[in-house]
Amino acid sequence: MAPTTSASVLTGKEESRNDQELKPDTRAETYSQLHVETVSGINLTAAAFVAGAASSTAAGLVLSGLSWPWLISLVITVGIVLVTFIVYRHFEIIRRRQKPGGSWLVPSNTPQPNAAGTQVPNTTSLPAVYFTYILGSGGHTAEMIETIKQSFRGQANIHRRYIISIGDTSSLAKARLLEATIKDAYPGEDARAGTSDIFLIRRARKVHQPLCTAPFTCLISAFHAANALTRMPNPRSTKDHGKGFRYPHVIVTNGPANGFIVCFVAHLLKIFYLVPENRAKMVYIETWARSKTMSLTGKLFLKTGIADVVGVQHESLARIFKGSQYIGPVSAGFLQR
Amino acid sequence: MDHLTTTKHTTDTEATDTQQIAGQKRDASAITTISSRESSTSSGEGLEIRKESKGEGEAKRPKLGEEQTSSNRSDNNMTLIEETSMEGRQCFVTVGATAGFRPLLSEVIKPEFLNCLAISHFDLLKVQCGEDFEWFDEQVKSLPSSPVTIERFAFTENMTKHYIRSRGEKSVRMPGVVVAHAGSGTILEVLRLQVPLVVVPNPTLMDNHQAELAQELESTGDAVYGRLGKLTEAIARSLELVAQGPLKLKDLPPYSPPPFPVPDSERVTLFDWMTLTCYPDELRKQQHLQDLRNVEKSFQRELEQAKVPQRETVQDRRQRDLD
Repeated sequence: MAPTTSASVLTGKEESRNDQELKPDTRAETYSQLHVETVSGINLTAAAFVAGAASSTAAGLVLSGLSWPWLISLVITVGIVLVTFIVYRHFEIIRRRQKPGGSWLVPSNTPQPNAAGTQVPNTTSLPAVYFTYILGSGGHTAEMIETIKQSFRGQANIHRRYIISIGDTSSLAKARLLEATIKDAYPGEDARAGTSDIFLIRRARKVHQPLCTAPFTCLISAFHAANALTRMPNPRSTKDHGKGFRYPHVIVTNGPANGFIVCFVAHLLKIFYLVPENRAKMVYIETWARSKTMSLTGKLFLKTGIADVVGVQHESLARIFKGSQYIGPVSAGFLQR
Repeated sequence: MDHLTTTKHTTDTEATDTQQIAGQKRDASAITTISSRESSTSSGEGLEIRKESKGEGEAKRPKLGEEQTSSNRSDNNMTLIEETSMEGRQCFVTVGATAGFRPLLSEVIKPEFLNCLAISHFDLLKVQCGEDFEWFDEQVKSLPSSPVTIERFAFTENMTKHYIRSRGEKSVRMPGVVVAHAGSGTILEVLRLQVPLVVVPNPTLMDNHQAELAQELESTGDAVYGRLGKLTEAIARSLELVAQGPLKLKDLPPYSPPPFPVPDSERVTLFDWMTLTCYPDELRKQQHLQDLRNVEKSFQRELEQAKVPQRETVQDRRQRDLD
């Protein structure tokens, strides 16, 4: 598993050699085979199995009668190995990440026809395009909906997943309204409306919740998030081209805590090889309201380096915070014209 | 929720009556205008209450502003007829759905502010009060008189309609103003609808980025930074900006929602590029195409620049021949 992914991701040179051998029509299938089947053997149930095995081993060790110093040193060793592994993987993922830059992250890069007549960027011929949008609360959702509208294109290969906190009824209503608007634009059997679903996840900590129960609710929240990130979309078949929908391509968030938590969980999944590295690209979009300071979530994303792109909507902010990218006023639709 | 909507319906028709009467009142003399408004007593019904002089409410004037087209009027009388038949200015104050903003509410019913509105030809003050609705209602009822009609409600699902009432449309409506709390969703929607905007940051909620946003908007000329205690100046400044400013908020065409899906040439493509990074071969190919296109564009630009001096020299030669 690991050798194949590293071969396809690490060295561009190797891939370009294979490039000429692949014919265009088989490329889609090849992609789904290269980038998905390699990790299909490992999924959440397997991870749960491993966790169960680990805990039963631990229980067995404790009950086996080993003296306490041995047990403690064993636990510490395992802990150190685990932490080293996690840290190493974290930095490896960041290092191997495709750096934004060049021609592909210029905000005025609206699609233009090129000499060949097709427009660039063109995702219509891809086997799958899978977006996950994390809807926060209130004003964040409104901006997110506007961003989705500004970036929307009617294509049959698009699947949209909305991740919403349980109890956030206004965000749920807005998401449903957006999907209804999309369905109206492509009525009847028109497949260009794409497919969509909505996942509700538990908040990490409700207001007034006692702090002692917070770790447990955090864990439950994390499991919900992992589920939302890895569950296969129902409307898509699990065979052939549908395999491309196994993991989201892009995760978009623009706001508060639950956005960071879901992205953190996605990063952990990548660390433990449960999600391939060239999936679950994360974009954090700072709110249009912020032109001089960055929100706490944005600073967290910058510091931890989890997101592939930390996007800001004002150039002044991009100049202050190195590592952030100016992406234009994506959630202020009227300014695009 | 349901009874809110029904009262809204009734108030809609009643509101138009108000506007028609207000239009009438603008024509009438000043003394009668003020006395007629003074004589009205508020009679509250449901959540949406308005101060209305029911005694004079029956006369129906056709809504000339909305039905007449410019072809019906002679050019000489156009401004006069336009002015008297257009919908009057509305000042819409909104505190948002998340937190209360009592200081703003108390300021907008102060006599100085109401007089300022009346002088500037506003005939309607509509207030979305949020959680302080009952308190605001009592404040308004305890007012001795008001030169401007005051409508108020707590929350609504459809803010767009109220924003549009303040939108300046050619021959239809005189531009009013929206006085809003500094919530980014509200601000973006008002700017999208091209309605004159005054942003008032809430000092108690100041986590600093509300004032920052208001300052930024003022510097780009998109809105006016309204400070508590200086709202009359803000309104004056807003009207000034509308009359002379670059945004052309005075004579807009009637509002039509922007097309969806967004046309391809204006779409945000960030997420498409990020999806392509999951398919490295495809990304490289399309990046190459993009680079080729950029090269093509720069070639064209060079050609144009090269042409320009040639043209000048030909013209210069002709000049010399003539001379």
